[in-house]
Amino acid sequence: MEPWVVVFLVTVAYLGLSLTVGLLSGGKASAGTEGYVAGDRALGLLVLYFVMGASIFSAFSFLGGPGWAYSRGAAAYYILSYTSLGLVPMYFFGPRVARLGRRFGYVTQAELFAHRYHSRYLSALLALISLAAFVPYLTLQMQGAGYVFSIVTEGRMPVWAGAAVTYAVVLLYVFRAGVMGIAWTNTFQGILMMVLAWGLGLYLPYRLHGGIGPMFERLAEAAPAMLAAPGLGAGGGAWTWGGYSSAVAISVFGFSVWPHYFMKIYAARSIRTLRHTVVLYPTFAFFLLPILLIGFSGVLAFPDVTPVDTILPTIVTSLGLPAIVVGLFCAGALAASMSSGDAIVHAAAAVLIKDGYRALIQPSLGDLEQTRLIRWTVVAVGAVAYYFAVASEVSLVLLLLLSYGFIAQIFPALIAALYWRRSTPIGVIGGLVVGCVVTIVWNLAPSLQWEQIHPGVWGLGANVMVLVSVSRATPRMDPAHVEKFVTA
Amino acid sequence: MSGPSVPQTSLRVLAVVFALLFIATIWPVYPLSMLLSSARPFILGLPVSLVYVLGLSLVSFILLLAYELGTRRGDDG
Repeated sequence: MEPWVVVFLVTVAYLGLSLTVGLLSGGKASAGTEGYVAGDRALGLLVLYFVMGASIFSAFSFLGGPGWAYSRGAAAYYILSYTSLGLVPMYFFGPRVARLGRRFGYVTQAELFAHRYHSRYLSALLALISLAAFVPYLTLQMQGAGYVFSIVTEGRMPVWAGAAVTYAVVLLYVFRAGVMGIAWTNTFQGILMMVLAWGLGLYLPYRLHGGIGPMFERLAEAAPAMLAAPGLGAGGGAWTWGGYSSAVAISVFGFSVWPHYFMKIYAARSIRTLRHTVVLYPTFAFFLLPILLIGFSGVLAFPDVTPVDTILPTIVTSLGLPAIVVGLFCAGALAASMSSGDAIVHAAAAVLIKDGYRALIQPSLGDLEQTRLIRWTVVAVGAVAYYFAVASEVSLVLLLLLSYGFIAQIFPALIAALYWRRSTPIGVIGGLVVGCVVTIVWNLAPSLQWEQIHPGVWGLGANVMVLVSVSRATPRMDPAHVEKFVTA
Repeated sequence: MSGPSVPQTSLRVLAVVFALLFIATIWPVYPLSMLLSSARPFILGLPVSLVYVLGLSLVSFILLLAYELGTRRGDDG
């Protein structure tokens, strides 16, 4: 049997196993939105840990992480920093959000805001921001899956077909099982990715350089600038501290308010489960370390690989490894794509129906009808992202760059909703709109940029200023209503 | 789920500690000393610039764990 056939079969077996796990998980939840979107608020520590963790092991981390270490050296450390600190804010606001979710029946992020501020327009605005951030991310996950299949079959299977097969599996288990399907497949995928990451992260430096220590010694001799923080910029020159620090900052502020993470607060079995998940979460930084080691191992052994994100598959397919090992690597890469893509497509559909359609068009929509619509919207969102992934000529790079900048704008609004009695709907909406606009403008106008600081940071500054000043200039909200949120 | 029972002061202290930890990962603290942001010396075979970031991750984990274990709460429903 030809090696590529073995690799292909291992990959297909992984997809079959994921589908089975996903479909079998569905019967455990109730039929309404609380079951489909929040898993009846019953996820335990193990599953919640992997749901949160596997989501960060995206195609970006699994393929882009080694690419960053390979091409930009110490710049990639920012991934470790934001992974260890990104979920910490949830330790503080998470219990409050979980209590409110149970008391008022929220399953999406915007439901909390809409209730706190009595504003369906705020709900719709948050849905719009979320979708603008979700679609490019989902599209990249699909493209990543397509490339994996193309590599696996040595070009016999085109990218569009690989993406279609992989995401047909994802849409099937998300459609049928909702968050429970995501939870259990992410647990399976998370364990697979950890084993593969550490296996390859230890083996490749040993095989190519005789160990991790010798690898870094050789690198320090040949390219010392790569190992000194803040590493290299995209153009190969030294990165600025402004660029590095703002990348950490915007990621930390944005991380815990990404709607697909935030919504998992409602899915936790108890507040203790939620807190314990956040406590354990920094350990994922240690699971990302081997991903970076893989990238460093290729710097001297495989110079001039382009695009840099292909360094991991390039190394794996160049060393004459057994076909079954290459197949497992491909399964791991697919797991990285799927474990982020499933959570995103599920959250996007829930947000679109509950925070957009129901809030603006049909407030009387029944719970079962909402669930039915969310299921079909999962398919629709998947189809739109698939179109962008394989057929559209629209560049997603700008949207992707904007994604974290947009999402981070939700952070001040959340803090205001839960901790600042004086905040008002107009202040929060004004802050969000101005923050997003400033982020866009700073992205489009390079002349405004300074020290490569992330545009989202300027957006955050403008956001906070508008939120505070407009809130102070507009009438207070009913204190009895506000008290329910700031003392929850 | 009942209301919060953890002393708010200790939670605020923890928040301040994490704010400092966040600052330690970025400019100006991280590059303050060449000892922290340069490749050498090597510690356990890893460049000090990487050990510093990993060390902060470990501190973050230990701090949260210690706080969690050290507080008794009535809000775990």
